Amino acid sequence: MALDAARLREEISKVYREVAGDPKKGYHFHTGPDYAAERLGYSRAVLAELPDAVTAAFAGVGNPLAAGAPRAGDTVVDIGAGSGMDTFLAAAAVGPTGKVIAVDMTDVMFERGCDNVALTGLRQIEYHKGWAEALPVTDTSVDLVISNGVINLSPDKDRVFRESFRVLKPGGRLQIADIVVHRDIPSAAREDIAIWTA
Amino acid sequence: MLTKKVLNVGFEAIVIEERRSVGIDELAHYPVFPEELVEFLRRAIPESRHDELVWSVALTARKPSTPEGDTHGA
Repeated sequence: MALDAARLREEISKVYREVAGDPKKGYHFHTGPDYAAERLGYSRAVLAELPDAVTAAFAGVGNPLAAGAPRAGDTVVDIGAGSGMDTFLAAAAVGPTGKVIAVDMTDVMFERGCDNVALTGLRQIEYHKGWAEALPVTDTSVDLVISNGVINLSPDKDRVFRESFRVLKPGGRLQIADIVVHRDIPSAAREDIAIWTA
Repeated sequence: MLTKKVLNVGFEAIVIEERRSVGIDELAHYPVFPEELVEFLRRAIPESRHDELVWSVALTARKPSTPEGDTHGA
């Protein structure tokens, strides 16, 4: 039986809305700072410095900043920022002379992110509601693009990478954490799960 | 496939920093996979493959510094 991709996409969006609205509800999947520290290698001490409102709804699949933090004064784009855990970690690194542009497509995560920016007073963070496939960012203006468990959900992954390339300055970096499918999964199953993971 | 997609756009210095095999049981703990999909995978994929279904990866890449290297722009 083939999966109904549109319905499952809506289900995923619904799940993220639920996580944003009630991050400690208890889900079948991991969320929050303990998950990030124990399973994904984030520094527990660093996460403890962030407000609970920022870390509680974290639901990434890796640590895109583990490969290297941005430099002071850098401009960073966080694709699918959610409530902003990676965004705020990047903001701490770029400092007041830098900028982090957080992009999320869901109303609830966008609103939660804006609330978190107001809560922390970090003026170097800009939240934008937008799509990974059409980043609300000018050409060649960014030093680092990060993303955590988001690109696999895009229906047009090539376009997400083209957009990342477009916004980066020459020499700019892309650092992503995500899920990809094994090549040798049986074709019948692969056709369905590729919707999510290709 | 992921690396090829990034390469085709024009990035260089593409490195898979971390790659870890993930089975269905662990997959169920990631938020991007709803329970319905996980149950579908359990049915559709032979049990012998359940321990190695997807990769969790961290990828880094760089946009070429010189205009000469920038031949695949959007």
